[in-house]
Amino acid sequence: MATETKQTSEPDGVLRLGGPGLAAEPTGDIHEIETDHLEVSMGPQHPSTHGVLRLKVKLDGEWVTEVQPEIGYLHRGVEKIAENRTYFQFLTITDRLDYVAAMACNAAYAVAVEKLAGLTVPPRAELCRVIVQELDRIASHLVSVGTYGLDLGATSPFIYAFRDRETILDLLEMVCGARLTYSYIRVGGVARDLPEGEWRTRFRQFLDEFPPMLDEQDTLLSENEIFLLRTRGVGVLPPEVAVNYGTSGPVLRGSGVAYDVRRSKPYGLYPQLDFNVVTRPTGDCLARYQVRVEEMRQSVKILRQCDQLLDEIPPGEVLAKGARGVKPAAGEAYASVESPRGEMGVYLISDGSNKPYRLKWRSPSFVNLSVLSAIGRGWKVADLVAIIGSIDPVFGDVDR
Amino acid sequence: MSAHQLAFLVLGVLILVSALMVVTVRNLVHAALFLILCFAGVAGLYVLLQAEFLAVAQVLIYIGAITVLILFGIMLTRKITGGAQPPLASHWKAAGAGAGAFLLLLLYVAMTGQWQVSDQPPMDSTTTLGLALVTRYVLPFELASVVLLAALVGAVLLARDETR
Amino acid sequence: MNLPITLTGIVEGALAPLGLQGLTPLVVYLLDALIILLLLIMPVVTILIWLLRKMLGFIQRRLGPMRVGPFGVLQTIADAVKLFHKEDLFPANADRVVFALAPFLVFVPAVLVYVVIPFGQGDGFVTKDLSVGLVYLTAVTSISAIGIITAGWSSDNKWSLLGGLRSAAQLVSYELPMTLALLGPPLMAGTLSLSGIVAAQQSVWFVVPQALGFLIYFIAALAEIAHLPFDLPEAESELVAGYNVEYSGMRFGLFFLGEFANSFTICLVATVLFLGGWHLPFLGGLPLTSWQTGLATVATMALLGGGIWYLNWRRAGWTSATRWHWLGYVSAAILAAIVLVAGLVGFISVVITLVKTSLLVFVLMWLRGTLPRVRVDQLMSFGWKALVPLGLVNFLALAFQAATGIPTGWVLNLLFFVFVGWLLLFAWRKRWAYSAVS
Repeated sequence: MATETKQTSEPDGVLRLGGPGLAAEPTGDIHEIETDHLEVSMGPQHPSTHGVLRLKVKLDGEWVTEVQPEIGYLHRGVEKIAENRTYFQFLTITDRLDYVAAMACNAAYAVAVEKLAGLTVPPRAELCRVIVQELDRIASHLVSVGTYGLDLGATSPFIYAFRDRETILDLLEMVCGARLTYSYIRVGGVARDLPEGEWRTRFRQFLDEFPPMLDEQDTLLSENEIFLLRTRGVGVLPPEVAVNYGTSGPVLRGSGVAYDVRRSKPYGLYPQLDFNVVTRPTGDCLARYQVRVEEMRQSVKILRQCDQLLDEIPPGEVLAKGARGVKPAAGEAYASVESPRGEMGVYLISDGSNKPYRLKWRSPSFVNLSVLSAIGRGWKVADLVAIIGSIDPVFGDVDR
Repeated sequence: MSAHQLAFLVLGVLILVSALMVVTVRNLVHAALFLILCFAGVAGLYVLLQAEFLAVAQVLIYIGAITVLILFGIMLTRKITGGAQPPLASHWKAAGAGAGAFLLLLLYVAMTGQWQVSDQPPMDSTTTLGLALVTRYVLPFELASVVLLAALVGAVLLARDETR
Repeated sequence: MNLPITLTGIVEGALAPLGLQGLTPLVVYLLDALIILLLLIMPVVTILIWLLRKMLGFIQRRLGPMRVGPFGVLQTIADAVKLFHKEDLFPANADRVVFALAPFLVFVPAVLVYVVIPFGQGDGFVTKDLSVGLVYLTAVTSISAIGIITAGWSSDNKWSLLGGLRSAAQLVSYELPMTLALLGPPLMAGTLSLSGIVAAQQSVWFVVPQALGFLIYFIAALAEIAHLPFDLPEAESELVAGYNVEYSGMRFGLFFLGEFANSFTICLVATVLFLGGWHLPFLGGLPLTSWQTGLATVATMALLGGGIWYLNWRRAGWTSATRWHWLGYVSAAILAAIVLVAGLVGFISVVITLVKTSLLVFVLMWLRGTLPRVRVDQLMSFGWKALVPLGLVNFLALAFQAATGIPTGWVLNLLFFVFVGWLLLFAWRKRWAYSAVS
């Protein structure tokens, strides 16, 4: 706007607040004053970037005009490490990827190697896998939902979520001795059969107690007017954008696309199980939150069926023969599982040795996060926090 | 020296020094903070004169509202907050002349005025003030509110983004 | 009480040899302020923080502080000692003087407020009963905004600056509805003095004819002290911690203490202005020295105290709490003994005021435990589009009533009650519908 510049010797009081040092030229038109854009670095040390995400954010006042995720603070070169480990050894490293849902990582890797090597997993092991994966999915969603409340300033839902997560972690600890880095699902099966006796009782008790607890915890957020104000219509991700960016998991299903690896590319025992693929049509933060909560209910539904199957499928072999020193023929394979965050895939190339020639990890967090710069623009800083929380990235998984 | 005189002296020095600092200090935020000090000193003077309502109103309006707005404005235009700028703007001569003339006028009024000293204890100043505002001075009072309203509407108009 | 030695006497005796008798009132005031600060505010804030953490723990099914002292009462003191030991850091590019002063600009007004607040009946329980007490109150609280803004600016941190700007906008906007709501009680009482306002509530607490005003005041005050649904200036998850992010050590402690002192203050002010101060419900006309009043007080305290200890047992289990449960009985007995034996009107009235205040503080904690945070624009539009018009209507109705005698204020209030009733009914039915579905 090239309005004629007046002589600067006669400044009007409002504009010349800064004196001669101020760069803005007084043109007489007050609409031409540009307020400064503030460029802030959100993270890597920021309480609500869920780890070591760094966002380069340009702010116009409180409005976000540009957001650019900067990643790599947790990069450990996992894919390269894979090339120097045998197929069996590498499994423990996968725990360190999506550390909130390590079972899914184990499963993704195991499924891929089995496909490459043509291993058949014993039925009892498949059942164990489903059970621990679904337990882990609930635990992971609880973390996500709980910290989401925290992101929006509500502290209590977090505590309630972790109460229930604690029960699950206890169960998983009884199964494999670890609470976070399980390494329970192995190439060709699982490490050992599920324990009998007390574990079974506590497992059933959990299935009975968890749904009402989840309802209670859900009311803290989804019946709260302020929570709805903060999430409804915020960070809308249109389905075509979601598909184009390759998102998956609750982020995609929150936009109304019914894509769930457990249904679309079935693996393991899932084809025999009855559950719904949860979708919400709106694509906002609330939808993503609701999808996660509803998925926990679906997981409980799956686990109830598994509880029956535990009696039907007799205990027996849980690790395929020859899995320990597996040496696939030269070739390549891609297989994926539905992790709590979406499609977690592993692409493997074998040169015939006992180590992978190349491993590529398709991490759902990374892909989902990439959508942030598309939907994070035009919101307020506070909404940006809500959007990141609803995408729920885990940085071990993003940076690999 | 009575406590009153001492307090007056301290407050006077405080007001003068902080007022001087407001116009000479390089940093605008510092200038605003000295302005607060100056206002606080004036409020103190009101207390000394037992005009507690005025004193409190001074704090409420000048310190609590106006300076906050000034600070807000300064911070929104961030470039100038840290930067050095000439302490006296280019119009200091004209400003100085105006201020000097006003000072002379004040001095003249103060010297020649017929001041009445009352022995009676002052009345409740709040009641007096309130009554005066809605009886004798109702016209200026209402005028002031109209002016303020106009200013408010004007500010809204100026700040409104016409592109939306 | 006529103690042989008074503060004034001591000060006068000390100043006379120096020929400075004229300064006596000033020095007495300063000492008074110091005594109030050390003996009243500090312990109250300490206990308040402990209570808050305890209640928050209860809401979040945790124990809260348990380790330091019985039930963790001394936790706050331990925290303060820790803060004193911390290094007092200055960011490299901070404006050192402003940075150093800002915490005091927040903390000192928070304490100055107590000068005019009548804690109990009689002159002994208010430091200085200013005739413009209410205006003083609003004036002094408005100062702390400057502290917050300058703290945000001087830290030379973008997040702090954002926090400072947010708070400036928020404080300036919410001062308006708060002041509008505060106009109600003096209009009804005919005085700006806080003791006068309490005295005027002997028969009817102002919360009854001014329920709408009370609600507006409480909400606006929440925003004014940046309490939870409105704690945007220090939103941890958005602005890291807002204006105080660069502060450490006791300077941070001052912000922290000022914040808690503020939460106590707004509850105290609400008690004094709307909840009848030291008056008991339904006993308004009776003299406070009567046995009924004393018994009612003791009963209230016993109920409250018993409740708290019961909750503690419930949460802590017998193993960790039995060691200290005698303390509950002993302190309750001592308190009861003091109340009954001394029978001091003023003391009872102070207790009543404090009990009412702590009930309101509990509401604050409850909010803190349950609500998420609103967004900046939601905050602003709520303030300007809901609270300010409501406050104006409320004030105009009341003023009209005061001028003409037509009970417009009562009518408005009645409408408000009907509205609240409808809301509650609605919420209850929604709740019922929810439980029927699931």
